[in-house]
Amino acid sequence: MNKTYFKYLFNKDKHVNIVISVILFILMPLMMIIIDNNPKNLNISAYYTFFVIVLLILTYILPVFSFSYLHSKRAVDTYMQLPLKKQEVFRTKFLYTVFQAFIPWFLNFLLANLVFIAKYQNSNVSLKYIVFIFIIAGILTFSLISFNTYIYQKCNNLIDGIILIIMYHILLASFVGGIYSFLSSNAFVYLVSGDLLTFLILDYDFVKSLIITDTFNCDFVISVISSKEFIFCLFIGVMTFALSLHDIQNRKSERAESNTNTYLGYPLIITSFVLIILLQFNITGFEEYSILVILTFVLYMIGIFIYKRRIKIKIKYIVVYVLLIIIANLFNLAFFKTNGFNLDKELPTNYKYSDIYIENGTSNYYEYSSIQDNSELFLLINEIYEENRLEYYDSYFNGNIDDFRYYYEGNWIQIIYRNGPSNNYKMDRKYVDFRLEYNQTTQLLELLGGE
Amino acid sequence: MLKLNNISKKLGDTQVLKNCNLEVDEGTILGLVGINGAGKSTMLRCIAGIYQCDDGEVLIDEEDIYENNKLKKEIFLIDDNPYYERNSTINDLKEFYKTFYDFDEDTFVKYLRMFKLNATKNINNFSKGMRRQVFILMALAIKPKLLMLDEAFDGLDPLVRLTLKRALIEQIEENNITVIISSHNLRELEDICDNFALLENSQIDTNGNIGEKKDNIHKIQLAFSKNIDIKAFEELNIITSSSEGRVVNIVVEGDIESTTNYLNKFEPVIMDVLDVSFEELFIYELIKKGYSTYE
Repeated sequence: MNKTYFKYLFNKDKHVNIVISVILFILMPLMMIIIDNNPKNLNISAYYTFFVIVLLILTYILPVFSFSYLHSKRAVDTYMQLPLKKQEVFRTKFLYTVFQAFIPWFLNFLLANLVFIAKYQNSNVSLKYIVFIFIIAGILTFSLISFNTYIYQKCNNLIDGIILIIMYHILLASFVGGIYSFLSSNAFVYLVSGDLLTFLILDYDFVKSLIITDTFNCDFVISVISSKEFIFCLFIGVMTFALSLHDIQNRKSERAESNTNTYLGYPLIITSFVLIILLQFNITGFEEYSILVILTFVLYMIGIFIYKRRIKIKIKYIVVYVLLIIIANLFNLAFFKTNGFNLDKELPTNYKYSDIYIENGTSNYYEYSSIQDNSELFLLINEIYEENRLEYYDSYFNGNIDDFRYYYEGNWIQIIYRNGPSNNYKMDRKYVDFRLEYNQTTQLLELLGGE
Repeated sequence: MLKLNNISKKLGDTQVLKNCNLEVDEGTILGLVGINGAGKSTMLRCIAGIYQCDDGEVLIDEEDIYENNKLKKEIFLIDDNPYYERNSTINDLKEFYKTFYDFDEDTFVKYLRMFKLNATKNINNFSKGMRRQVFILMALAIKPKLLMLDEAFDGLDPLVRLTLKRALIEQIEENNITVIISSHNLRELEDICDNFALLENSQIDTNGNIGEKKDNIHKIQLAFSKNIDIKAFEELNIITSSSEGRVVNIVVEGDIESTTNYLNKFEPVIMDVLDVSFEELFIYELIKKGYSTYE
């Protein structure tokens, strides 16, 4: 990093930085000062909501401004002739962008905590906690800026840069959401973790859950730094930063303002989206399928038009589209022939069970919570699970099950489990229904102390 | 000082520069000329280290320029449409360049006054010529060893053109800087340049001292007592010719003494040897390479 250049950037952008700081100040410390004098009514989570969202928005917007020099011929001519190596310019601008997003946010966070202490004379805030938040939220900010910068610098012009940042995030959501929806439709919900989705909102939830914790201790620190969200974000951040540095070193100045032609750009985005859409069509009949395939082709061509900036249907595009249809259908076929690649043999881990809901043939139902400590119950549920799920899934894939009888004439058990070690498990909970034999229902009810 | 060794550069599918060789001595001014799209700007960008050459090398004092911070501090290119951040002023631009170069504040103030520019006014509101003056001002304050100006005289009024030429000569005298100017305004180049390089068909085929080149090409007007066929001057290296009645105009390449001796054999009534301008030299060079002019 070039310190002189960093200092210059800081002085140049002082007005912008003041505006960012003022917005963040209004959202957090000021709101805390003027609203709600009664600590009992204090909803600290609500205070932090917009505060964290603004940080998130900054991590999307600031890289677009900071690295716009890569996408303008005039700016490239100026920046590339400066007596600074390409990577040096990039590193300095990158660190400055992280600084610009994070420091005003953190200072206001600090100020908000001071207000909190002064106003309510009661807080769990400690110096260790502040330092911890500084490090963790700083790393998460770095990761998101790094990810967005990587996509942006892969492009050759500003428009493509903005489109692809948005599309990459939608792709991640669609990819995870697509799998989620696909598996949900086949009752495999418990296999899909929502963890990846959290990257998209990095941590709006994650950061918020960190800063509103009232139990800051060693266990909490370990649980945060060993959490999948944190490790995933750190990995993405470090990896994309290293890749960006490599790309910048090899980047040709003449790429500015030309069409983006990297395979990681539009080709990947367009084919991935089309494939995800086509994979969703497995449940429809032929007529509906044909209409959806044609509509998807129109979307595909719109994507190609944006990519190439011209309307021209080439044989190559049609061949690729047909290949995608074949791949999607082959995948669907293989999935059903193998009972979901034998994923149905997988069980959720015990710790994820949360509630159990049982209904017998007479429409009496029983709901039990907090079953995690009952090991005997666990074993029984697993046993029933093992026996019944095979019948259930076999029936599902062979299409023999009588849904009406299954739901209205049989006894059934609904197992509710957590989708992760979240505090809001009721929000995230998922469930799977299983048909029960009469004696199993009785056994379960006995164990649960029911009738 | 500057040496281009077989540099080649492709932009997209177009071969813009191909095996170009050029040497520029310290303290001289080189005029880089060529038709539109010849690759002058690309060559300047290669020299400035903006573009990496596909082949060959750009050496300044025997060191490759590309990604060389030390050398880049000594060179400056003023583009034909230079970049500045939106809403920035001359003072903002000064701060930017001060971050990277050894900036001479006195020179800055001197030329700021000379160009009569307002340092606190938004550059967006300046005319094209004024914006160019701003960057000339920056270049003069940076005092680079090698200064390159792309389309140098574009949009400048005669007074500023004169000021610029004087300033460049002053810099050469005081700091022994080397200057490369690309321009289509050959009359201006002729006033100031020692040497020239003609970029044509992706290559530099013709270069050298302007004076020497001009001395080797002669425009001769002849009048004879009887009609004469130009084909009769077969021993001369004629670049272009025209005749009207008994009056013949020829442009000849070669030694003037032997040429006039040869022509005297045809007993002309009048023989005037006229000076060739740099612009004419440029046109004749292109005609030699097969380009035609509209008659």
